[in-house]
Amino acid sequence: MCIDLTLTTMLVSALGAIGANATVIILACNVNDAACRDATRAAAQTTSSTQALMAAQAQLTIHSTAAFFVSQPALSSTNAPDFVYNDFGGNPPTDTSPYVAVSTSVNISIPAPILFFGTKFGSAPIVYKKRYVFPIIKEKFYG
Amino acid sequence: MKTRNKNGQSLAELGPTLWFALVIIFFPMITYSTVGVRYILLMNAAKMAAGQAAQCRSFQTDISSSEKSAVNTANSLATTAVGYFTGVHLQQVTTSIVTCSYSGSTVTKRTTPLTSPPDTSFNAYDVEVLLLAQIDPIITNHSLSSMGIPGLTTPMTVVAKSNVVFENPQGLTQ
Repeated sequence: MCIDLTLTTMLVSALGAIGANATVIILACNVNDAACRDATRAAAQTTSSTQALMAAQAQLTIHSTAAFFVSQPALSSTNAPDFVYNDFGGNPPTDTSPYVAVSTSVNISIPAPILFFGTKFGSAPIVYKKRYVFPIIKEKFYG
Repeated sequence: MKTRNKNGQSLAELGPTLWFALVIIFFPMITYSTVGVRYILLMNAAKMAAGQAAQCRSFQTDISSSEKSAVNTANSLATTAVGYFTGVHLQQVTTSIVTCSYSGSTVTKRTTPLTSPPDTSFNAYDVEVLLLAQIDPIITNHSLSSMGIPGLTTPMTVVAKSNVVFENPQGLTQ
């Protein structure tokens, strides 16, 4: 009975740990996805690169997390290709629209790190990055 | 002296092992998984309600019978979305305007329309939908109900929240 229980407990513990890790990763991806989408959407309704950056950062402030397993979403960087505000100086070429691109990232701390045949899963925070591109809505389109 | 058959010992141990494995390990895992799935459904309802409310042309007052306000849209959508599933009981829907200034990064919330026209040059405006609900465990009214463990033996009170950029900020005064 002891062997049965030990094996069952080990198996269930491993499955439970994988399940908990997967849940946290999926929730973090959802949080970062929503934050990135809203940051890009807010940046798209501004009229300058400086304002777009501030609008994106304001949206990330609104999308706060408990920051225990999932860190606060943050801009990956304020330079290209992570942050691009391209209005073509108000004169977009044919078949091209002004656009803004924003990349955000979160650090995910795994709740139950797993050591599997020497491979460590979750000992360091996992960085999940997302990028959205929206047309700038206050600039004229081509044509 | 008669030798005992070892198969009999295994058979005798099977009952307690199965009881331990099922009742102590698997049953709570299945119950908590169900609560997790139901919470995801609630989060999805909040996301849908916020997404739809963000596209409305007014915050609190309906424009017409067909163009509902953000508050009424969020209420009706959240109620409908939660109603599709069993075990999730919606208790309260709170729709707020979340304002964040570009410079100070101060976040303010209000459940009433703005008193002055919004200034999108200096502030970001989001609609936030917060759902308060009770989630039932998969099996209720069993012998362990008196233990009062939320999510395992009794319903669990949870909150799901979603923010979306308001598409028509000029309508936030209505």
